[in-house]
Order: sequence, then C-alpha cells, then structure tokens
Amino acid sequence: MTDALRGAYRVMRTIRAVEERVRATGGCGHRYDGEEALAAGICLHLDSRDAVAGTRRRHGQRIAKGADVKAVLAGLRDHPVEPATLGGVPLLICGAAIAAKQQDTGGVGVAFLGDGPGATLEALNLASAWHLPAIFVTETTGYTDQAAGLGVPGVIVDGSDFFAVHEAAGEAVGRARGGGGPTLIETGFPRYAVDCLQRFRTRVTNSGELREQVLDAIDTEVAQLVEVSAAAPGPTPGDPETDVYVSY
Amino acid sequence: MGETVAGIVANPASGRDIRRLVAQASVFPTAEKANMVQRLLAAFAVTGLDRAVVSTDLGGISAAVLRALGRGGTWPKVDFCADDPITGTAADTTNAVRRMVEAGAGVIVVLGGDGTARVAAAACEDVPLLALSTGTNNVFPQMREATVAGLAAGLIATGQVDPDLVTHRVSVLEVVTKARREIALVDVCVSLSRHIGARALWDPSSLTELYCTFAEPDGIGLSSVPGQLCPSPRSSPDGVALQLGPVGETPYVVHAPIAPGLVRPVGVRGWGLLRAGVRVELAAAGGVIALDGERELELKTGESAFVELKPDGPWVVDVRAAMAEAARKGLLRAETDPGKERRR
Repeated sequence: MTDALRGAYRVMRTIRAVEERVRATGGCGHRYDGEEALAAGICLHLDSRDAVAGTRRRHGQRIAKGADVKAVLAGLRDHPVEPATLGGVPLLICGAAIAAKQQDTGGVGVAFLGDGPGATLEALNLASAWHLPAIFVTETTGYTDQAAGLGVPGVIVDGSDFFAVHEAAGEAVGRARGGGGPTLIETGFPRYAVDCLQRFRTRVTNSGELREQVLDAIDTEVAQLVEVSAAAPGPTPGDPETDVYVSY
Repeated sequence: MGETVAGIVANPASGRDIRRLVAQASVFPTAEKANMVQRLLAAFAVTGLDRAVVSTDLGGISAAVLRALGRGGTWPKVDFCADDPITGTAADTTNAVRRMVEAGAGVIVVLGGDGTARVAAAACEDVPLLALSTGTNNVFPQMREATVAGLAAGLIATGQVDPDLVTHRVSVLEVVTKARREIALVDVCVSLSRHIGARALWDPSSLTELYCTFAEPDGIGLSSVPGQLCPSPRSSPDGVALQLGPVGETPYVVHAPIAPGLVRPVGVRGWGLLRAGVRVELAAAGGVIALDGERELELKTGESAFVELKPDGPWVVDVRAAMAEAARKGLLRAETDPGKERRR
C-alpha cells in the first residue's frame, strides 16, 4: 500500500510541478491546481487497455495516465491554452468503450467532462443502452438525477480528496471491467480553498503510512524531472509528419 | 406571542453517495426535495406560521423553491439563508441550522439522511428537529409525507400545540478524540480502514467495534446487527455495545441489511449493555471512526478515542403525537351550522 501511496503522491506532485513550471513562463491558461487528486485517484486504476479523454484541463489527466512529461510540457509550450474539444469528449469515450467491449479487452473509457459539455446526456444514454464500460467524470454536481433516469448510477465525491476519489473510482472501474456498465462520478470542488497535496501529506503521515522525508524526496525527484523535461528540445518542423505517411 | 418562525434545511447531497455503486441505493431527486420543501411551506401557511427560513444550496433545491415563490402561492414569508458562503460540505447544514436558531425558529425540519440529521442535531441547541428521509440508510429520519410533517411543525412553531407534549429528547453517542468532539444519533463504529475515503461504510469485514443508541429488529444499516441479536428500543436510556470480527473467527454471525440491497454476514464476538453516562475507551488505537454509517474521523497511529452515551441529545418532534394533539384540540377542524345551511 505504501508503494501505491508514494505513486499517488508522485503523480499529484508532478501535475502540480508541471503546471507551476508552465505558469512561470506565461502559459497554462486552464489551471488544474487543486484537482490533482481527481486525475490521480481515477487514473491510478487504469492501464494500457484503457482510454481517457478530457476537456481543456487535460494536462493533469495526461500526466496521471502516464504520458511523458516532456511531451506534456512541449504541448503546453506550443499551445499555452489547450485547444477545446468539449462537446465531443463524452461520445469519444463511448467509442473507446465500444471498442473495448467488442474486442473484449477488459478496457474502460473515462471521460473527464468538466461541467458536462455538449453531448453528455446523449453519451450517458448510449452508454446505458449498450451497457458500455464507460465512466463519466464531471467537476460539478447536477447530473446524478438525469443519469439515474437513464439507468446510470451516479456518486458524488469530494474531488480534492484523493482517498474519496480513489475508492469511488475503484468501484466504478471494477464495475465497468466486470460488465457492470457505465458510472457517473460527480466531484464537488472546494477548489483553490483546499490544497489536496497538503491534505494528502497530512493524512498519510498521521496514519503512519509514509514519513515526511519520503514525501520530500519525491518533491525533489519530481522537481528534477520537470527541469530535465523542460530543457528537452522541442519538436522540429519535420515532426508533424512523423508517423503520418506509410510507404508500401 | 411574537413572530413565529420555522426552519427548513434540505441537503442537496443526500442520497448520492457510493452506495449507488456498491449497492442498489436509490437516488432521491433534487426536484422531489424541492417539492417536499414546497409541501412543507404550504402546510406551514395553514397553521398561520409567520416566516419560514430555508437553507440555500447549489444543487437546485433552493433555486426551485425561489422560482415557485415567484409564481405566487399561499405561503408564509420565506427567507433564504444567504449570509454564509456555500461550501458544498456539511458546514452548509451547520451554518443554516445556526441561522435558524438565531432567527428564533420553533422547529427545524431537516430533509436528508442520517448524516444530515446528525450534523443538524449538533447545531440545533434546544430547538426541536423534525427529520424527514431523503437519504440512503435512514434510521433516524422518518419516511413521512411532508405535508403532514409541515402541519405538525407549523402547529408547534406557532405554539398551538405545546412542544412539551409532543417532543422528546433523544440520546446521542458522543465521540471524543484528541482534536475533535462529534456526536452520532444512531451508531458509532470503528473500522480498520486507514482513511475516510468515500465515507459510507459497506464492507463489514474491517469493522471491530459498534456502539448504538438503540437497535431495532427492522432497522437498516449497522444498528440492524444488534437489532437481530440484542434489540434495544428507542425508549431505553441505555444502548448496546458490540465487539465485531471477521466471519469465521467469531461465535456469532448476523446477516444484516447494512445498505439497500446489501445483506452481509457480520461477525460478532460479543455484546453488552452500553450504560448512559459511562465513558468507554475504544479498543482501537488507529483506524477510522464512522458516525451513523459514514466514516468521519481518522485516528493517528496510537491515538485513543472515547465514546459515551449521553441522554441530552436533540429534542425531536413526534409527528403522530402532534397531530393527535391537534385533533384533540380541534385545531384543524371548523364547525359549521348545518341548520344555517338548510335555512338559506
């Protein structure tokens, strides 16, 4: 368990450090600080079979899902305000969930929906009707009534509490992998009011699971990773053509 | 009598926890909570109540009530609690109840589950509570039509029914840790879990100790365990204490309805009376303490905690008794002269 807790803290600290780095250089229009526990609590249940799609704040979700920090930093450097793909996100995830179901991979699709854009209700309806391994995560409350009407169970958790998110997401992912169908996770957010990293630190040190020194060492390690990643060369003009054309 | 006031607290988050995933708990819709508030207000008006103080929320309940208010209706004056920031946490219930106490409410109606009622009970001082169920595991709040509850509450708040005759004081379990003092209305349970997590308790295998103010055989939630082993009525001044353990290692196993759709075997090592006024040190040194079925307190490693059954909990309204008193006094009855009708 302590390995898992160290991993969770490393992910949350990396998201925070990347964002601080980008903000210091004038980028990162859509902030994710305060929501690290949400990305980490959910994505730590996922593996290579699974797909996530997110709205504008997706750099946090990408890091939590295991994306290369160099790529995330380069992406934010070139697009300080991440392009919005709001409306389509929930249906994209239905597509990923259909693929996982048809190919019987045991994979799940997770849509991070912000305040629930575009085709959210249509996607909930589709996921319910086809019993898809899909999880819809909103950063606002108000969808549970509609989701219940469509046959999708919903749960509200404090999105800044890693342990609350992690437990609810574990149940949702388990349900999806086991053929139990879609789930809605609504996260309430006392955002900017509660530092979810500090809250995590206090709780794991109080419980005796991790020591302060271990957490401080992770802070140092992450700071070095972000420095090295930020110094990595950016994409070259030829890179956009990489992996685009196929020679027969 | 001066201005007559009653409060209504409606929790937008009740009936929304993880038991919708791990059990078949139902979702109590926001629209129905708003309807219940309106039914309470309609009943208040019949009793002649001057003013209702209603909680505000970001879940859509107070917004729906405000819209209905704009459409007109026979309601008392309605004031919304708007002086405290909405946090989306239990603090919203605490703040609203405090405002209602300050406003001189004669009764506070609480829409929620056991968790909401627990938070309201800690803040309501001597103002009687009338808790209506809109939550998940409801042992303390009543499943009752809001219109009738509103009549009972209005008659008490306006002084037409003597609160001394139709309210009674319930016992609470007080839990004291190094840093916090909390109450529970129904049960206190110790779990080996390290963290509060998604709050609700649904896995009985990690439970070690259980204390209940009362235990009814037809209850739901953790108090159903002693309810089947050693029932203790609500009227009893004493409660019950149980030592729990993993099934297979205990002399007793109870198949208990611990959540809607979830009947689980719970291992019981033993049980005994929990005497009022006696402070008991929890055996656990560490872990999590759940209050009324929700994990609430994380103990530090080696930290001790105490539980005590106290008789001076909140005053609660007996709706049946209030309506019986109304009938006895003819408060909702009007007599006409049939002869006058015939002479017309």
